[in-house]
Amino acid sequence: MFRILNIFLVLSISIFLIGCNSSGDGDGDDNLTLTLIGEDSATLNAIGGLKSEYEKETGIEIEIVALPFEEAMEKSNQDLRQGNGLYDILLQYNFSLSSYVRNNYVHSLDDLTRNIDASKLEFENDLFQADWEEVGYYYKDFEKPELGIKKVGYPFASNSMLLVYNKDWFDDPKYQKEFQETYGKDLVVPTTWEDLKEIAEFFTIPEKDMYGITMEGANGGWLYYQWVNMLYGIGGKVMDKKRGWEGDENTPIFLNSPQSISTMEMLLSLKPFNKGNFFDVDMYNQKELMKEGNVALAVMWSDVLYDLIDLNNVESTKFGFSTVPGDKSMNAGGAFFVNKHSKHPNEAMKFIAWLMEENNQIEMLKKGLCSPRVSIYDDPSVQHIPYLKALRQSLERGVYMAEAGPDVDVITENITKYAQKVWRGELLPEEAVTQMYSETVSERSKVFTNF
Amino acid sequence: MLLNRIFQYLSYLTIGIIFVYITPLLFSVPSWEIKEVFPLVILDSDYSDSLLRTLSFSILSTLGIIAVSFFLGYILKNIKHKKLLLWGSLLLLPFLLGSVSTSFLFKVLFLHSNILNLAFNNALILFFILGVIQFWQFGTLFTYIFWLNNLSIRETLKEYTDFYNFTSWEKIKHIFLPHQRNLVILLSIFCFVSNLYEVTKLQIIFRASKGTNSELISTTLYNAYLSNSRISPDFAINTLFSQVTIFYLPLFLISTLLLYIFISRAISFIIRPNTYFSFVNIRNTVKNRISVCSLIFLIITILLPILIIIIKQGLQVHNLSYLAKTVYLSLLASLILIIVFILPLSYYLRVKHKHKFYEINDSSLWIFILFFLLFLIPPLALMLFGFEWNNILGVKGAFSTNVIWVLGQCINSLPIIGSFIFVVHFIVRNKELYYLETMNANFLEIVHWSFLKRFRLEYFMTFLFSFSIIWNEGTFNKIYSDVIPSYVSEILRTVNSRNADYSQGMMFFLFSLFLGVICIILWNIILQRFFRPK
Repeated sequence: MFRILNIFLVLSISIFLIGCNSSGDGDGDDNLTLTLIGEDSATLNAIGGLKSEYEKETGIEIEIVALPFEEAMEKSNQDLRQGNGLYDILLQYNFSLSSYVRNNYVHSLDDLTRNIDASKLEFENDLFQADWEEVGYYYKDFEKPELGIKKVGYPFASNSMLLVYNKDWFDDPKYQKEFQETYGKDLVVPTTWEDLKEIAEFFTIPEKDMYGITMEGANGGWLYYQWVNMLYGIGGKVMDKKRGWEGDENTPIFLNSPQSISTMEMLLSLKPFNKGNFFDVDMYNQKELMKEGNVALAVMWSDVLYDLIDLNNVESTKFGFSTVPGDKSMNAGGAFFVNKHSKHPNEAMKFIAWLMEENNQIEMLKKGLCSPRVSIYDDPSVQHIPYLKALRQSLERGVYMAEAGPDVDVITENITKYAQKVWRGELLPEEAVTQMYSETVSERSKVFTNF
Repeated sequence: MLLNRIFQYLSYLTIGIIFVYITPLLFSVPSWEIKEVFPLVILDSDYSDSLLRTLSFSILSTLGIIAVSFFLGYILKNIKHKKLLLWGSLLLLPFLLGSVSTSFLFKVLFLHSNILNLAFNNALILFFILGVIQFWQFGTLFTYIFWLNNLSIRETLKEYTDFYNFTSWEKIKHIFLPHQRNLVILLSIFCFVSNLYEVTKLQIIFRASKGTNSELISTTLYNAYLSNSRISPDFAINTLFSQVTIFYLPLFLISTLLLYIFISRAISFIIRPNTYFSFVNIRNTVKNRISVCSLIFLIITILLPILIIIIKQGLQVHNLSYLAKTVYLSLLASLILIIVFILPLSYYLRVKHKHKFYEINDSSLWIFILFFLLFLIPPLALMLFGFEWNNILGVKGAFSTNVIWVLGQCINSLPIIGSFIFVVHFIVRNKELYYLETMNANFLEIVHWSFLKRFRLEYFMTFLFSFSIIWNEGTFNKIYSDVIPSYVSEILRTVNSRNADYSQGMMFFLFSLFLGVICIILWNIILQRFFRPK
């Protein structure tokens, strides 16, 4: 009996292990499948809307894995490091670039485009070049940056942050007159942060439930991006470099500059005019607060705007759109990265090239994509979308603001931490900036030591 | 004899699985980033602050939740009416909803409210609110369990205390607390560890951050892990694993042991003959009224937030039939967990090692510690083990993914569900087992008469808990969410992504609520049948 039991156990374990290793036990479908993974976003929604067309054209099945940001990144990272090639195309942001290239996880575009007809790649000349470099270029050899840069991925979206204002209020002659009387100037869309503060102050009448601004103050990057927009708009900078992914331990950091202090002061000065709890306001909550219609201004991500307005009824929108105060806007977005362990890199590249085609970009733009192609913004069929002009201007004047090197989290977290402490009144702007600077410098050096 | 062996092997298998599962920790020994551990953990103020915050929150909130639940369980003991018992089963609802749904509920409830504003400006208020939410989710369940357990005390004993005019204090001291001792210890440990690694509520409701002094250790670890991933995922994993093995696991193991010592000593102190606290003696009719009012208050506390968000939050109707597979697999995993892993192990330990395994004491504690070893590992590390195992086994295809998913869920739920069943089996007295042995009853007969016949209700309740834990689980569900849709990922997507949409989240919340209500209805049907006189 004891033997029988042992045999039974051995057999069970064998069957179990065979079951685990068997690969073709799914649905028995032999079609080639390309799997994309990325954060659940307007971009993935837009791709999802088009994929059936591509599937019909080519017979290749497209599977989209849309997840919360952390989960998408975790799964992508695990797949890359284990070399399983579960995901062919990874849609990730610029802060993944450095890790992907340095660890040799993804193909470079030189490898991928070798077998693609040059005519299919003409879109390259039509991309917002600075934004593409921000999200899809990296050092040819990261140990020898002097050798120049290479293309790693095509941008799937070119995002920026825009100033959204309550058009109804700005167009109201009553408010225009009152503003003129109070401040001695016209009520126009602000082009400096000082102007923005005045307008926010003007429209803040809590007893009438009117507020000047709503800001993203949540952890997880939301406050950081607001803050750097303000910093660069005021004339400051975090580091002296051209792209977010550049730099090393020797790159000087300017977080202790007078402009940094001014940014903290500006942030604090907007507190009385702010709607919402600040600390839990992310992109979604900010949009919902704006939709309530009782806020004058907000600096918002471009990829949430399609959901702020009704694209089928744009005339009714009460919002206007402009570039953020200051003379610079943020280059952001993400790129398509092709997994080095993908079994179908060529097919993956062909699919990306297909997505970049003009018609498809137009279709996706109508579904919320912030297209990385310049010419798309001129297409007559999209001229009704009210935020496109401001988005295009932002991308054309876009610069690096968002960090994307290996030290990105150190900088992001410290800025968020100290900006929140200033907002809570725990630290004065000067104290916060001094501590933020010294902590960032010390933590950055640890990061580069581990590198 | 054969059955004996099967039970013995299954017991070994269960214990072996726990060890095998955490071996990725050992695989990574050569690459441990030792230098990353102590300087970071001890000298870095971010780490030490969040560690201190975590330990103090976990201890205080655990003691608070257990004390209030025990007290409420004591008050509710006077309620024996079937209809009220039926309503009382609503106390199970918050636990059945799970952490993510609870987080979603309070996120929507508190959105743009002054409560959150207060919390963001004062970390003490924030953690107090978090403690209240923890009570809402866990305390209501504990209250129900204490209540039911109080009802299982022999009526003659209660009549005896009434006859001799025992004060409330004397009743607690001599009857109720000794009767609940094992449960109090187990639920305290469960609550402590749940608080230790609380992350979902903090992230979703409070957006925990260093700037608001609200980060607990799991968030700090996760942020550090993300940050290290920018260097390389291997570096991030090695750093995390070495921190967990060398620092956090031993620290939390010691903390749990200290908590056990504290609670068991506190109970022993309270039930000493010369300990006395004065309690106001209340007449029985008033007591009954207080019991009913407390129950009504608890039910309102549970239902009101749910009703408010149903009214407050819009709804976007979606087809959720794709989640049916996850529901089915969760049910299957719960069944396998209880039948294959937990019951054989528990019977084996209780019957074959009855001289040690009859209560939570210094001898039996090690089995609980072994079980809680898994529970004490940060969920992030557990998830990474899952990825490691997935890679080692080369899991591909639907069938093998389903098998591994079910197995993984069994491993993950083993600590809580297993410990609960152990404690339930402690109700059987050793005298009874010795008696059956002297009567030459074999193992199967002992199991049949002393356990299976007696604990059907408890097994069913455990099955429901198990289903809820698996359905709301965020580790294995995330690893395989491409193949087996994950409820947690789906609802998180609607709250925490660039495409967030709370009205979609509401749909998922209602689905989970629906499942919770179904579980409660099933529980009541079984309860009614059990009490139906034959």
